[in-house]
Amino acid sequence: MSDQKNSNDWEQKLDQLNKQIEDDVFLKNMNNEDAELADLVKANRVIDQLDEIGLQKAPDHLGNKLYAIADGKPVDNKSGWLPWRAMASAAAVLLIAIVLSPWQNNDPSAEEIEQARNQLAMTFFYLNKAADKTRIHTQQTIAESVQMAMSKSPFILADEEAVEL
Amino acid sequence: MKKLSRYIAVLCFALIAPWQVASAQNLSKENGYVDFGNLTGVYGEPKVQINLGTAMLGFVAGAAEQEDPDIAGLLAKLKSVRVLVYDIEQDAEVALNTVDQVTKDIQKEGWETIVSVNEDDEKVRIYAKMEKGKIDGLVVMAVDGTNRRKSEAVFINIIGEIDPAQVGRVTRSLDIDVDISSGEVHRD
Repeated sequence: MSDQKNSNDWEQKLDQLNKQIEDDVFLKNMNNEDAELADLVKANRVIDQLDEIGLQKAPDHLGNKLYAIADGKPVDNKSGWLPWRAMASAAAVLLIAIVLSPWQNNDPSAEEIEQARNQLAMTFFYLNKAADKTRIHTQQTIAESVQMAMSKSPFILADEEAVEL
Repeated sequence: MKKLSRYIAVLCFALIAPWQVASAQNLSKENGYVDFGNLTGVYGEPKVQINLGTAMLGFVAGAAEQEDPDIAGLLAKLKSVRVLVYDIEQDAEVALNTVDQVTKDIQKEGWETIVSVNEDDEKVRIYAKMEKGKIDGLVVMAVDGTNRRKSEAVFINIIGEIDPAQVGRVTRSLDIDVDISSGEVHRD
């Protein structure tokens, strides 16, 4: 209980200090003008306040652990670890493993198959569209080539020469 | 106990992770696979993005079995279908450059040109990867920058045995009416 009371005391003091610093108009103005100087003043105030609070007694279980380290004894970590937590963690991990397991039955639903069919249909639509474009372009190119060849045929050339004469 | 749960987690990860990674990597190792790079940074998210793997294509083929066994047989030979369609209203240049870059890459890998259309603002390329006299992969790249409002870049990669002559037949069999503006597919 005394540990709890002590911790409440210094926590309250720290909270008060924080509030004072936050509400301090002088510091706010200084922060606007020179942020580095304002930080220095804040740091000095915190140091003064911590000096006032003084050294605090560590909680018993923390103290025991720290003393055990200093004495070279093995630290007892089990006190804070409940076996049911470990069991729950293991169960959760196993559950995730089962859900993600590649061996479980992953058959898609009828809606998913229908959606895939629509996607496939769209793919073939775009394939046809591209094929149509190339076909039209090829036909145009051939038509132009034939026209060009026809325009330079010997008959037309002969006609042109006749006109010139 | 804490260690035990950690061991279990590591074990599960070791069992699942390779399978998950392998399924993604296997596709890229396929003979007919082509990487189109990433145009999302330039054109935003694709208007149409389709990614069908072997398993799902198998289910679609299975579903088509009763209606048309021939089409089901054709679909069953496909391993993967990937489609990316981007709106390219602002600038077609990046998409046109991507077509050129992918063309260079796949020609080095022995892809054969089926047809190639080259205009200033329009490019259509169809390539096939042949394996023992059969098409084992198909790539279609079509960039149409002629109409600024409706400009789009289409990249299609089909892995598996496909007969281009059957494309029209498959499309008819799927009974579709695609509304490009909304990206919706309506069954007839």
